[in-house]
Amino acid sequence: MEGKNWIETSLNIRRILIVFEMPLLYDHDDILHMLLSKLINMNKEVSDIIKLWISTYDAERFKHLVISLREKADILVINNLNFNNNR
Amino acid sequence: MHRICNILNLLYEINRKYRKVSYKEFYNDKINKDKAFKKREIRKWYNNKINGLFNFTIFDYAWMLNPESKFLMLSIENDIQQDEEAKTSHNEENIINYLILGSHDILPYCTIEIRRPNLIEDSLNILSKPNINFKKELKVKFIGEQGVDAGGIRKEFFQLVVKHIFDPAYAMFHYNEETRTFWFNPDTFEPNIKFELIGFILGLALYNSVMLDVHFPRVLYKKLLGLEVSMEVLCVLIFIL
Repeated sequence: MEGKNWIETSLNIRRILIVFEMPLLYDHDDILHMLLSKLINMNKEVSDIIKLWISTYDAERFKHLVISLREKADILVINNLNFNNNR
Repeated sequence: MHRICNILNLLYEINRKYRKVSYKEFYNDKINKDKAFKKREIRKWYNNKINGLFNFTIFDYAWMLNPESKFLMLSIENDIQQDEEAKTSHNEENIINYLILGSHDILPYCTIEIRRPNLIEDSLNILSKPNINFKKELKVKFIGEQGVDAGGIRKEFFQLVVKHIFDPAYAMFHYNEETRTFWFNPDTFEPNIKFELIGFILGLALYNSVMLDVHFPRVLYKKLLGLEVSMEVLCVLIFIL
């Protein structure tokens, strides 16, 4: 990977890693959606770098990240349930 | 939700490789506790599956589910399949066969008749017949006994079969006291086809939502999933030998 593509990829990786470093910031703004959509559309190279980065976390830190995201998922499930119950 | 699930999925993949936390950390309690939500999602998931759709459902992320939810998922999927099979069996050809030949293909259930003293032989004979539709809900009748199978007789049937097959006297399987699991007896005189039929019985029990008290080592499930097993096989064999 060369030049512009590489800069773009490294910027993407940096943005994505920010999400992982601060998962509690998640629902606040549109930047989140932008970052997450990048994460969904990431290529294998980016995905491998992120996996490698997170694999360096110790168990405690990794667990904290999982719990933060799971709590976020819980809130979305509750919203979904309320939405379906009110229909 | 979709996006969060994708990120968690990525973490789950990392955890599978590096085993940083228990897989239970990924269970979603809100989902696992809400039966109505799960039932809705399972039907959506099944609809996706048979129609080749890609609509988001929680059940695409099985690591969120505890064993109870997974069993519910399996039961509902089986119920749907059994209902569909029962509906499709009600066709013109089967009606004619029923009227002329007395064929039972038209019935919504798959009924098998077993002699209790010949439990294993009768079961294996019936299961090896190619023209029985086991995709329908199974009903069991013990010959010479009263009673309509509303699920209880079926459960008893599977429990009795399993009890016989895994009896040490039958010598098809070894029981390991230490691991409390069964493994194939390499010295058995039984043909391979009999083991295949036993696998079929266990699958049929699951398909009919019957939980059986049979424990195999994890290596067996890995083999079924096509995962690498070499070292674990060695450990199991060391236990047996």
